[in-house]
Amino acid sequence: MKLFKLLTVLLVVTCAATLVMAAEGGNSRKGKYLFKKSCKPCHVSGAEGGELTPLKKTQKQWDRFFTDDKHKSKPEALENFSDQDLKDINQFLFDHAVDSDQPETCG
Amino acid sequence: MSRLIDKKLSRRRFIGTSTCALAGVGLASQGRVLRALATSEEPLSGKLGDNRDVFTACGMCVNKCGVIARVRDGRIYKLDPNPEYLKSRGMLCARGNAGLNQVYDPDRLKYPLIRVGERGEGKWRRASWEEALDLVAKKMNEIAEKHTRAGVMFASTEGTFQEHFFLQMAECFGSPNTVRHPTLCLSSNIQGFSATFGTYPSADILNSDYIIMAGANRSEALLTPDSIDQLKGDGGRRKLVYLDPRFTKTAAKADEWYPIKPGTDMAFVLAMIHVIIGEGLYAKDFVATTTVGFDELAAHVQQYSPEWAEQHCQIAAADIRRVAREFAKAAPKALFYPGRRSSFADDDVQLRRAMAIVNAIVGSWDTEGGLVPNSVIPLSKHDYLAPWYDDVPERIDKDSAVFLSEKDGSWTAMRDRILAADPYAIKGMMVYKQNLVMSVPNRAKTLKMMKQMDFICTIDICMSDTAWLSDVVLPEATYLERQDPLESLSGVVPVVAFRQPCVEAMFESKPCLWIMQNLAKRLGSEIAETFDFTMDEHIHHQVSKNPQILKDLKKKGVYYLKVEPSYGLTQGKRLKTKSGKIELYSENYASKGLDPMPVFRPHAEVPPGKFRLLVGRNAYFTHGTTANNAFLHELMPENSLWLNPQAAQKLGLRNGQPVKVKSAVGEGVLRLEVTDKIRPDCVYMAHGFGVLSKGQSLIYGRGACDAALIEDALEPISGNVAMHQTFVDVSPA
Repeated sequence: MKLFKLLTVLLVVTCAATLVMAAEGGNSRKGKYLFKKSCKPCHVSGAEGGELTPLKKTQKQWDRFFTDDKHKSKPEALENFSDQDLKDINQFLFDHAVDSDQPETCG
Repeated sequence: MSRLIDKKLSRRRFIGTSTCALAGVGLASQGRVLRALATSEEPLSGKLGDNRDVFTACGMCVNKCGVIARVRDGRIYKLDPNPEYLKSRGMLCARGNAGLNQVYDPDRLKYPLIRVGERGEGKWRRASWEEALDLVAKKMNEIAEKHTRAGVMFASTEGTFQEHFFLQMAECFGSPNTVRHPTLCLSSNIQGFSATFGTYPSADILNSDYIIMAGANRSEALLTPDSIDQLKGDGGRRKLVYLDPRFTKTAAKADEWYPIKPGTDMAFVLAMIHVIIGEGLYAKDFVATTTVGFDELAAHVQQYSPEWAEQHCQIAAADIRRVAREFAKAAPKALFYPGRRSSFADDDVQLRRAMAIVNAIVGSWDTEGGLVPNSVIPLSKHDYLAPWYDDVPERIDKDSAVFLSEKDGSWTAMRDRILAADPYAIKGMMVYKQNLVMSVPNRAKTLKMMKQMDFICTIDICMSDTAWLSDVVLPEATYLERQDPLESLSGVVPVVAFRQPCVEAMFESKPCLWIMQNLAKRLGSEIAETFDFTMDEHIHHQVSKNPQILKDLKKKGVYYLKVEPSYGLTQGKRLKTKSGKIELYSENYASKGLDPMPVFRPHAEVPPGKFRLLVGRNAYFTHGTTANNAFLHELMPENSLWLNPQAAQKLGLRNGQPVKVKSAVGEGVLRLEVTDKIRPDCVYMAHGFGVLSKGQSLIYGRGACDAALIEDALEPISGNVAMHQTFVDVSPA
């Protein structure tokens, strides 16, 4: 039982570390700028990509999007971004995901 | 269930009563005000025969209640509540009624002003908008050149429906250093509830059978619809249990009042959880299906018995046990009210977590009479692309709190970093509506921070203390003179609010959008392009997906989708927590080194001979903004210091005498009010007095300023200020 608990804790820690590491190195504010400039034109209501906001996914889902999915519905959409650009966008989406730590405001 | 629609007043019935009651007051006071304004040599005559009833929304506090402005001969004659406006239940309070004085106040700002004497000396010269805005743009650019664009900070607060234009200016100018009111307000509360439920919910007070309020003085700190619903109840079976070291007007309306020892509310709540779990009174199915961490919680609260809590909070164990049982029995139509105020102490997030948890374990979530996640009516947002500047650093207060809002910041943490120029210098301040000199604890530090600024510009409707200490002051049109964007107000029953000009803007006052657009033109085309729209275009864009909103607003002054609450909308859905469920135990907190469940740690005791300074509201004033309103000033011309008779006798002080109150950071002189309405170890004073500005002629030299006395203790999880950790000496003045 103790071993099971230890393994569970290790798994949780590893997952948490993976989450953080995947989005490390990005500039969230720059990511917001790039997202609005380059992603939003196709990702608003009525446009080709449909409405997309950071709140549409969890942090884990956003990380998976950048590590695994890589915009597979239209891979060429990411071609014009540098690796750093993608890190920045990933960081912005991660920081504002539905389960992110960004608090609600009042007023 | 009480039907909200039944709460609406018929317009005929309301006008029949309220007009008669207040017409005399309005006429007499307006005559005096207009005479005073006439001394400024401005044309005051309205258009004869211009008689209209105009739908708008109140701007006197945070609530935005529905208003009908009665315009007679081109002047606002009286403000009435809008009976269609569900959120305010057909009510307009004293502050709302006094709103017309914002327009006809002789003290209001009339023209752009440029300082000519020393800061705070009160010497100004009238300037044209062109000259004033040229100067503001020049100073902003100079500071940006020298210190990057982060060298200009932007302070603002909500309520005008135009604050987002000011924030747009901050973002487009390129400064990350915006600072708003939440860390003087709800940020710890929001954090505590959000960590548990993934959001900060509303309370379905109207349909609740059992309500516990801790320091939420809802009968005076008005919040619509809660304040009204709290008094109405349903069938008389409602019970209100109230914890507060002061006997407020909410205490007067409560079934039970406990003068709890400040700083120990968490002990009371943890003991309630102890009883509810220990006696098996919790909602077992709800807990099993909707929450995580119950086993950990059950083990954790074993230590917190009512007998243990009694030692800390000075409420009898038998009462705690009985209240816990009654609360669980009434559940799920039972509420431990979330409260709506700034932090009590530096563990406030964990207190709010405990409050959230006690609601959760009895199933008071997304159900009639319980906590209800807010609904909102969507409006299309104005989107823009802010320019990117490579050399701008991160927020100056980055990492000063565990959960720091990137838009709101942390006021006191930010001020400390600015004072230390750590990690860089901020030398310019743009201020919109926020009266930070009066609002941020430890006024001496705020004054020091302002002193080291190269430039300060304030936009406001009156000469607040912050405006008084600025270099350029820009007059905004009041809420009764402006067309504002539509505002979607979330709640159990959400509405869209509407604000349109009742009269033309007086003197040279202008709306925020106009000010931002004309400043943007001076800051470059890239910024100006983001403001290239009219207010009319903006509003039509907001309703582009649902034009009916605007039609209803024009017809009845409010838009709503439904008149009854909807419950259970989150059932079976993922909540915005890490686990997707209600988190009694927070893995997220644990991973950040925080207590995953609330742990009670006693606060410092009041030192012998001293008193704990309490803050709190009354129904007349909104923070530091309305004490100079002539109508409200008559209700409370100055503040006083509440002191218990036992303590007064011990100090040899008598009712009405001036006393000096001194803390570690400041002092003030005000009149003593000896009263049984406060614990012997505490003192209390109303906010909004002791001003520095001679531009607030009614209250200058009256009373004392609480911000001068309160120390700036920080709640480290949310970045909020801790308001109840200041001890003061009281002596004859």
